[in-house]
Amino acid sequence: MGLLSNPKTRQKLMNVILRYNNKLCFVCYVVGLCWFLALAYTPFNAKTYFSENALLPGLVKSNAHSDSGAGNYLRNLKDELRLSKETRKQQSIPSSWLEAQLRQLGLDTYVQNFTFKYPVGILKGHAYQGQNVYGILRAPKTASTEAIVLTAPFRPGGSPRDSTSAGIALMLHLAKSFRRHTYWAKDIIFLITEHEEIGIQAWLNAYHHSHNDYVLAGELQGRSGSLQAALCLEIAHEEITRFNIKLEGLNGQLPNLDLVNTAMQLCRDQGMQPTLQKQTDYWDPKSYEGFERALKTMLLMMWNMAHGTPTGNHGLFHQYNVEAVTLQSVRIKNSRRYFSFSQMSSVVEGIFRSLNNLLERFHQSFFFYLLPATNRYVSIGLYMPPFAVLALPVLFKAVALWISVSLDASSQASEETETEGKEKPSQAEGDPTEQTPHAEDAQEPGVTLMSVFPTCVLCLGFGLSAHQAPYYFIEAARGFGMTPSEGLALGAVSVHLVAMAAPWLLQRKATEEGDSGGPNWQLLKSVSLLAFGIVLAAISSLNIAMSFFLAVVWVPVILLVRPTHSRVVNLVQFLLLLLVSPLGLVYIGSVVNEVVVEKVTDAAVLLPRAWESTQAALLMSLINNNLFANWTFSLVSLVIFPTWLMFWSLLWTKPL
Amino acid sequence: MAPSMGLRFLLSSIIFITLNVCSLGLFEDEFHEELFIKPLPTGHIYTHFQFTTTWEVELRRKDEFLHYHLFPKALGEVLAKFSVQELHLTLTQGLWRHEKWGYPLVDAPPGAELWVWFQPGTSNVNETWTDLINVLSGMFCASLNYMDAKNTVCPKLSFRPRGATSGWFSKTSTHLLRYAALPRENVCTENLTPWKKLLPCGSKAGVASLFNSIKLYDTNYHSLGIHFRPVCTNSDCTSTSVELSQTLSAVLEPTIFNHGRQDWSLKKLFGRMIGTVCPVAQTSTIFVDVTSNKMSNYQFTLNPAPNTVENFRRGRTEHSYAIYDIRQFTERSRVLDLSAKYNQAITYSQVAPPVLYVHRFQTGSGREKGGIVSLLHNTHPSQDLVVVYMEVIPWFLHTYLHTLQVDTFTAEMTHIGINGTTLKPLHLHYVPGKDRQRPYHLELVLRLPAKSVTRLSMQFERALLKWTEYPPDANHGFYVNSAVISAMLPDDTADYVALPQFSARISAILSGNESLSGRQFVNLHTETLLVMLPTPDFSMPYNVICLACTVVAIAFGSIHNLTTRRFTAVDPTAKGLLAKLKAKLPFLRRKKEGKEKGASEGEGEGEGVLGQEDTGQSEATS
Repeated sequence: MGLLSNPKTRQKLMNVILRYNNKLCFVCYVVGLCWFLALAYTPFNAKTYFSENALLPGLVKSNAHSDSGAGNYLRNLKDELRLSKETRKQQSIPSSWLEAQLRQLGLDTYVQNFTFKYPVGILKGHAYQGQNVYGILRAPKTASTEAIVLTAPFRPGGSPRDSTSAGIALMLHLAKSFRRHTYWAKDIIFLITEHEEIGIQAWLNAYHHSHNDYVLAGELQGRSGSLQAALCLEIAHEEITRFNIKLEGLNGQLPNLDLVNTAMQLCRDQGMQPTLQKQTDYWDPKSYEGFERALKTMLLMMWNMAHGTPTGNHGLFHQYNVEAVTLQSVRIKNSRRYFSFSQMSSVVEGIFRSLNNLLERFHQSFFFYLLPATNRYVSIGLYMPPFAVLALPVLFKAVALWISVSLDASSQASEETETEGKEKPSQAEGDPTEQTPHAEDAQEPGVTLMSVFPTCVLCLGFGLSAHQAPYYFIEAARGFGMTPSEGLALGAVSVHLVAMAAPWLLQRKATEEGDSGGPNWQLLKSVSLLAFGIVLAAISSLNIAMSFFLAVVWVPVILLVRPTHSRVVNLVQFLLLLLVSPLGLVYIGSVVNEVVVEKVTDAAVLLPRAWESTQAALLMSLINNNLFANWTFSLVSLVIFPTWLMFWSLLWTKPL
Repeated sequence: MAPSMGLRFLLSSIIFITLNVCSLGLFEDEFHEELFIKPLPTGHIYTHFQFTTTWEVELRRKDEFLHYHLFPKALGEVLAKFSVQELHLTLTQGLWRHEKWGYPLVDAPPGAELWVWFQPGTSNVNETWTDLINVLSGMFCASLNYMDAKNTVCPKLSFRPRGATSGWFSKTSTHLLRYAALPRENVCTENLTPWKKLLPCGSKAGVASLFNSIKLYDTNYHSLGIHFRPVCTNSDCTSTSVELSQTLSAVLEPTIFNHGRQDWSLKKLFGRMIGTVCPVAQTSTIFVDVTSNKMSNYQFTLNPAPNTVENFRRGRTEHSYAIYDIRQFTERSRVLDLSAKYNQAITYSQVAPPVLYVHRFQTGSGREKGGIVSLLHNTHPSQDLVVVYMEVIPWFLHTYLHTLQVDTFTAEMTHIGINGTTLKPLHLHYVPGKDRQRPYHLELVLRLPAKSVTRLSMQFERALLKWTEYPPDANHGFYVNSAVISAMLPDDTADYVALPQFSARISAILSGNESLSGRQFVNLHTETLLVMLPTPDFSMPYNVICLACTVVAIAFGSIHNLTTRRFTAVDPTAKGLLAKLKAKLPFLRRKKEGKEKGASEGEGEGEGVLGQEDTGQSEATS
């Protein structure tokens, strides 16, 4: 620290930052980005291992391997569904059949009713009904203090997603098999939910008695103790090629790595190669192709984490500190080998036997990690340094600007004092030491910092309005006969436009009044960069993927922007900033999603489709915010949007 | 002379008779062994072993507790030494599910529970209690010694004496009562062994020979109990005797192994049969509740056929028990393997819940705040129920009384966010806890309306423990005691038979019809809770502590220095304080020299002072 306290070295350091900050920023950004991406390469990450010794995965003999049990259940379930389809139009969960099946096994069986509606009168504020069916296998030797959950969503026939009937059948079969044994130390809850995430949210809310205005959860008639872990089954077929393991939860939360490893290990024990993001591990991880595959897997995982929407029902368990993953079936035509119910039940049973062994809640291993392959992981200790390097340019630039503002001020001050000195030579001669504190005063940031204050308040105010406005937009849009998603999208555009116009109007008014003041652009940029740095650091500790993508996209743009007299440069800057605006990012995200996931290539089809999915994404983020307490909408509107506005208003300040 | 002779004779005969009575009284004790078997509608079998020893001895006369016959000496000495009026100890594994199984003969919470009434005049109750739990702890191989002040309370209403007492107890003062529970206490054979040593025949003979640890501990519920109390010897209660009842309850599930059939036999349930009776037992009886045979067409037949089937009324329900006198069945070295065969496999159906049952759970998420909610169900169609609800919450859950909310729902509770009609407690007793000293203790008297669900909720804040206070498995969580609900059930309660007040024997249920028509007392224990506290990462304390301390140590000083210090540029041409002083030095020196010639020591001092000032100056400018 002597480096900073010694005025000479301090001056040197300042000079270095001043002179080389652009090069430093560039180098840091490139190095950080490459380093981060290189983490997916096998030599740079670590092999997964079991941290919790109590899990003892795969040490017990499977008792549940019977194809016929699950097969019979599946046939009966399909018959039941066919019957109900004939009698009723709207297909809902066959709750009475499921209840009868679970009760017949001697489980404590209950049905939960719930009602949900969408916020701000989306879909006319209609209240939808749903039911969850669950049976509790009471562990004989304990007093119901702990429980583990096996859950499967019910999907009606017309659902765009894969059916889960086979998963429900497998679950019933496992319930029957588990019931025959007395070695269970934790209660096992078999839960079948309706309406995807909403059903599970209703059940979890009721279980923990946390009220939500939009998901009205009926009281549960029976409960077990504190939930320790959960496994979600999404199995579509009787014979599958492999399991795909989904783990990204709400707000980018991840389950404990030990649970993920357990699931992987037990799949491998059955000779089944598990996948992540439906990407198989490349046979030679050290080759370039291997790196490419690992990078793709890691980036897909980060993409799922970044938007904060859970990839399955398991994602909602994380908010209650319950570790959960989803086993999703993958069936490939002409696969070399298929796995039947027998192997699937062995996998699930093995996981449950391991969970049953746990003496404590999951607390070892990692909660913050990235997975480039099923057996490799990048821990928080590994990914934080490259991320820091990636975000370092923000700090460099902020410091450089700060120093140059102070230098300008002091040079101005010294100029002033020089002029003063010329006018009043007698005073200047009288006591030369008095000049120094005077110059110091001018350097004091307090004087000029106040000039940035109004802009910051304005931006935050717009952020607040962006957070509150959607509800009014949707209300207003209904008056014009627009759908809520259109209304919301138009609203978002108009919020952007108004917010974007504000600095321009202010500047024009200021020039009309002849006030050439306004914030110093260097100071404003410095403050904005610092604000952005704080935002990045804060998000990175919660959701690394989100802050990584934000840093990758924003850092080059915001480092470049500065007010200028050149119209061309200005136009380019406007475009760049518009592209990285929250709405722009959502649109770009939609385009990427359409290209990568949906494989749309025709630009004429792509762009309108992307706009449609942007609208849907906006609406979904608002709904998720209200129904599931997803932070993304609040975070973007209250934090990221104001930060972006600060950079936008930078373009309207007076260039030097 | 004659009158005096007559008087002397009378006196001596009185003395003789008294002595005689005393010496007879010394062995006026009885032992009864009983086994009660009740098939439950959920396919479980409830078995309850009841060993009752009554001893006609005056409780308060300690000198009579010197000669023992059937009463266990080990326990008798302890009870006498610590002036115990009543003692109730249960050690339980598993949870009794009232909703499905109805009420047991003796209710017990998971873990250990002990409540003791001391005799009036016991000088220092707290000290006596501490001594007693330590003795009992050693005696039953249980960690009862953890029942210290941190989790002992003195309940006001929930625990009244169960046995005969004089008038003193009718006053509300309960300073002679202590109650504590250990929800985490595990029960195993190490507790069973000392428990069965208290029996006159041990587990060598009689129904106790069925105790097979492997089978007994592979059950859905298992509870050991010791209940000691004074009881009346006659109907007028002019004298009292003491009664020790040792209970062992087990709920087994034969359907798991019998392909869905509820058929059971002693051999299947316990792996053993009864071949003998305890020779000192006055009665050895097996009771099988066959009431359910009359109710539905899901019936069982007993083999061998019972001696008698007794019918009796309790409230409006007619109950019938099949009675086996084991002595008859084991004559001529026969073996009794009582078995029951059902006419069909079990079909599980929704079981009608009892009149009063409670479901308790914890609420909230995260590791800072939380709550406890109890749902009290009164399913009686027309009668309100007055219940006493007692909650003992450990000190590390800071509970707030102002968050206590009691809502009652007579209609259906549509969703969890809805509020019912607020129910005002009839009486409330609350003792706030103190950190590391005493638990939070709440007792409420509530009137539950007919056909209603009452929701009782309370919020708590989790304390951060000192790091040495965490157990080795800190991430397992911390247990909270069961809540205790006491109530008098209405007289038309179906399917519940309580043990009568005057005797703990099961045969007393059948005999004393006159006192049984009325309301029955019931004591319920709810689920225990497992609560997570904010827990530091104990898995790598070394790394974390070392790294964090190093970083703080390195960074703090310099950053503090940098951020608080004011930097001023010094004009190199300006004369500093040092230079000024130096300039003055020759002048000073000359003055000194002028005043004190040859005083060289003074000079040295002067220079020293200057030197110090010098360093001070350099520090300030650097």
